[in-house]
Formats: sequence, C-alpha cells, structure tokens
Amino acid sequence: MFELMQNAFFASFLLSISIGIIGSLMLINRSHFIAASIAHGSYGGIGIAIYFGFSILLSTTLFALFLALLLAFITYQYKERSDTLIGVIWAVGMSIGIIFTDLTPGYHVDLMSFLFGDILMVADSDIHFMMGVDILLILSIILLYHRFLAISYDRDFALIQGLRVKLIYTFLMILMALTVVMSIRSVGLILVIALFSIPPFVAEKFTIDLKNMILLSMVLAFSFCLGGLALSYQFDLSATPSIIIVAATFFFGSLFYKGRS
Amino acid sequence: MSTRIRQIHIDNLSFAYGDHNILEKINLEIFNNDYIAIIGPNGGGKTTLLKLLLGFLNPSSGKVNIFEKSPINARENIGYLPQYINFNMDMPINVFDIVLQGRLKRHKLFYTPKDKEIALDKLKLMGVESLKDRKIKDLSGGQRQRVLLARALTKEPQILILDEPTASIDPEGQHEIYQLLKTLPLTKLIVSHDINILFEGVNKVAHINKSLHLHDGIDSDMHLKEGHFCEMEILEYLKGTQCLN
Repeated sequence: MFELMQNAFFASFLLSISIGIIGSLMLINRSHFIAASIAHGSYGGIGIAIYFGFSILLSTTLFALFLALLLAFITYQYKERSDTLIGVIWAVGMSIGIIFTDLTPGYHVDLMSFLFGDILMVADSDIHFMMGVDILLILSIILLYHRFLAISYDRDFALIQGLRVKLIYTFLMILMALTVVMSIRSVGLILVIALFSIPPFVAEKFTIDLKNMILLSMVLAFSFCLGGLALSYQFDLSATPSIIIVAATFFFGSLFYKGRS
Repeated sequence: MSTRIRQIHIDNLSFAYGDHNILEKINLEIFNNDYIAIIGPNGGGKTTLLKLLLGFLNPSSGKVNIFEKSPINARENIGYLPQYINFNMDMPINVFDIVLQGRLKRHKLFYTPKDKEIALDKLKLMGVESLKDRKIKDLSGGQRQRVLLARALTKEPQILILDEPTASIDPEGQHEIYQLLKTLPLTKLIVSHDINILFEGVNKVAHINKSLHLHDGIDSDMHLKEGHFCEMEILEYLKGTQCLN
C-alpha cells in the first residue's frame, strides 16, 4: 500500500505541473474540444499496440502526435468548420482502437482502465515518461511564454510581429498530445479533460496574468489530487474519480465567486 | 516641408475570390507622414485591401509594395491595430504584457530592459500608464484602444495601420483617440466606418467600392465655418476636393 501511495503521490505531483501549464494554455485557447479529441482518438494507438504487440506507451504517443498534427492543420486552416472535423477524428480514433482490440485473438482488454485510469497503478516507467514530458513543458513555457501569450491573444498581431504563428500553434498541439498520453494511465481518457480544465478555471478568477494562473493551477491541481487520494484511502473509493469529485466541488464553489477586478 | 518619400505603392491591383471581383485595378501612393482614411460601404473591399497591405492575402494581379518590398517583408516597419472582434477577450492578460508584444520579434525570446522602457514610454504617451497592471478586460473601450495603440507604437514603426480603431467606443472616447492620432508624427492609414474621421486631420481620403477613388488634400478645418455639420456637408465637401483617379 505504501508503494502504491508513493507512486500515486509522485504521479499527482507530476500531473499537477502539466495541468498548470497545459491546462492553462488549453483554457485561454479554448481548445478543450481539441484536447478531448486527442485524448479519445489516441485510443486508436492503444488498439494498434495490442494487436501488433507494440509498446502501448510508444504506440499511443505516436498516434496522439499524429492526431495533434492533423488537428493543428485542420483547426488552423478551417477554423469555421473545425468542430465537425474534431468530432470525427475523436470517433474514428476510438473506433480504430476498439476494432483492433476486437481483432486481437483471445485478448479481452480492460477498456475501463484506459477510459478512467488508476492513479494507484502508475508504474515506474510511467513516472519516468511523465518526468520527461514535464521537463519539456517547463522548458517550453519558460522559453516560449511570450509567444504563447501573443498567439493566444491576437494572432494577426503576432503575424505582423513576424512570429511563426502556425509553427508555435502546432508545437502547442504536440505538447497537448504528449500531456494527454502521459495522463492516460493515471486519470484515463475521459477524466483527463476534467482534471485539466478545473484548476485553471478556478485559478483564472484569482489571477491577472497567465504566469500566476499557471502557478496557482499547479497548486490547486496538487491539492485536489491529495484531497482525492485521502478521500479514496479513507473510504476505500476509486482514487481518480475521488480526485475529480474533489476538484468538481471546488469548481462549483468557484462559480459563486465573482472574481477579482 | 520635408522631402516626400513614397512608402506604400499599390499598382494596378486586383483581387478576386474565385469569379467574384472584390477589388479592381486599384492604384494608390502613400507618402511619409500622410494621414489617409479608407472609407466605403460594407463589402466594398476595405478589409480586403487592408489584408493585402498586411500580406495576409496576395493580389490576383498587380502589386503592393511597402518601402519597395513585399508586404510580408515590410512588416517590421508596420504598426498594426487590429479590429477588436478578433481578440481573445476573456484571456487573463495584463496591460503591460500586451503593450510589450510590440517588441516581439521572430528571433527574440525575452524582453530586454530597453523593451520595457519603450513600452512604458508609449503607455505614458497614450496617457494610460496607471493601468499598466490591470487586466485588459476590465478596461473601458476607450482605455483599451489606447493600450492597443500603445502596443502598435511600441514597435516604433514607420507606418501605422488601424482597422476601425473607434468602433464600439463611446463618442468621447472616439474623440480622444482621434486627438491622440493627430499628434503622432508618422504615416497613418485608418480604415473606418466613422465619418468623423474625415475631419480629424486626415490629408487624404480613399473611398473604396470595388474601385478606389482618392480625395487628395483634405482641409480639415473647413467645416468649422459652416456651423451645422452632417453627412450632407461631407458629401458636398468631398465633391469639391480633387479626385485623382
């Protein structure tokens, strides 16, 4: 039990860093639907890995990156109709995953574990992958902070300043895909979006800029995770849904708070 | 008067979406320190011309040159105030971070102390330095446009291109923006629906409705003699100005 909790604790910490950075960027770019599409669509990568016997992490990463590039292209080029296309990619990715697992002889995968994840079952290899992604995220946000801010606020102005807006946007999608993949084991495809949305949403009300929003989101996310873990330990509940419930409680509470001006 | 240098040269420019002609054989020359208003009906091609000038669109035929370069290569000399509708309005971003964006460049990752000094200078010039740490979405329309103007100026451009800078702000705020613009010693090109712009110091007016009609040498003080003033006087007045093409 102690070891389970120790890894869950590490995973929560690493998750919180990515939630602070990617969750905040997702919120200001209103790209939750895109992230959800990558998250669900990347089930295709899981199915392919099971059928061909590849490493699930590698296959899912590559598949999610492919979806991210596709979505970056679509949402940049066809802004008006992108919702439909995002929805189609979401469904096609999941279908590919389910068909490939069906085709795998004698394999009955526990779909639930990918959909909802289990933060208590995070393996050391997952922790290493999460650390790698977090380092990339931290370096990216430090180096590209002003660029992310500029392209999120006013793309035309960023273009006139000579920034390579499309490249920066695509890179952001890639970071989003890596973050989704790193979270699958711990929080699952379905819960990942909630956990990435709530802390930044609450944090935004208390901060005046992205920098502080990111930092506060990290703190909130980590607190939600710890609170959820404590709840699950105390009452013997599933860990990840407990975390979501704790986060959601704060989310609904924050709706009553008007925010600072 | 200082020497006239041609900064923008639009030469026989046409633009079409498929078979639909938006702009036809446009010619226009803009010189240093010109203050030109681009007016015309909705769908007449104002926005398209602006996009061609900024290099967001390419002409179907003809040429746009800015400082004898293509619009994309001339961008470093252009300050731009986009129309406010394209902004991510809910974003948590403070005024100073927005103004600093004027110092962003392709190969620059961080702002220098000099950048911050210039940004602060421009905020002062626009009279909004006290709002430096405020969230942009908490400002009034007029304050916000002054911040965006400060951002465009922070680039220290030679040409300022403004897209509907007074839309959705109250008359008093509009007047203040015009007063500020008047004092800026650089070339200004302003696309506007607001007819008052014609009497706020512009020296040229281009009316665009598929083709371009240039009124050169506007004397903005003339209307003061009249007393009453509305669109009809503007019409009469424009009839009397010299048409170049």
